[in-house]
Amino acid sequence: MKGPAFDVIDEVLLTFDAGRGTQKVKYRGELFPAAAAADPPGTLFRDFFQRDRDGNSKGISVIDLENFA
Amino acid sequence: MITNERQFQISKAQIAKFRAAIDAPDSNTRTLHPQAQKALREAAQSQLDDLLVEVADCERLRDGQLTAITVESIADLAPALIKARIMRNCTRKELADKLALAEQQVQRYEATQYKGVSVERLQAVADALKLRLREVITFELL
Repeated sequence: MKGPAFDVIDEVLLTFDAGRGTQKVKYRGELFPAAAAADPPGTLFRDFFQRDRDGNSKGISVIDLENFA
Repeated sequence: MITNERQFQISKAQIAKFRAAIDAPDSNTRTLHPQAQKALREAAQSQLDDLLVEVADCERLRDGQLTAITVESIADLAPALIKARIMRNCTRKELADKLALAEQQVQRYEATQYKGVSVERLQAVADALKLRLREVITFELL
């Protein structure tokens, strides 16, 4: 099994209700799994958020939590 | 908010991708922790729901059934003007032509939610779209 330690993750971060409302109330932001397959040919969620509504590229900041100190 | 045909088509394409990802998850996700798989599925469903709402809102604006938009604050005026343009089936180019502006200027107005645009210009946009604004200002108790 790969992935984070779910026994210590705040359940709120794993709550994906309408508009991620629960996450936004507690953290003023929302979290998506970076490895999520948003697109079968291989585009990840991370790539989904790198396109604006018009399909143009846009920059995002990626924080590597494993090496974040 | 979806504001033009291109965005409408891109959103519909994204809906198809998210649906496919939910219906047939990538084989490498099966190696993940069950809770991770659940999070992936629910995150994708949540994003899919957002897209479905946006496309439905756009279709509702376009089908001509709405006849009025209610705004609760002056800040709501800009999105209302954008919605009104969509309800009128008026492209940015057509609105720009009516205002004797370049299409890019209308694109900027909408991208910035008409930020910094004068009241006179907002009225000109409303006139170009043949909108009648009926303001009701109520006084809160002091």
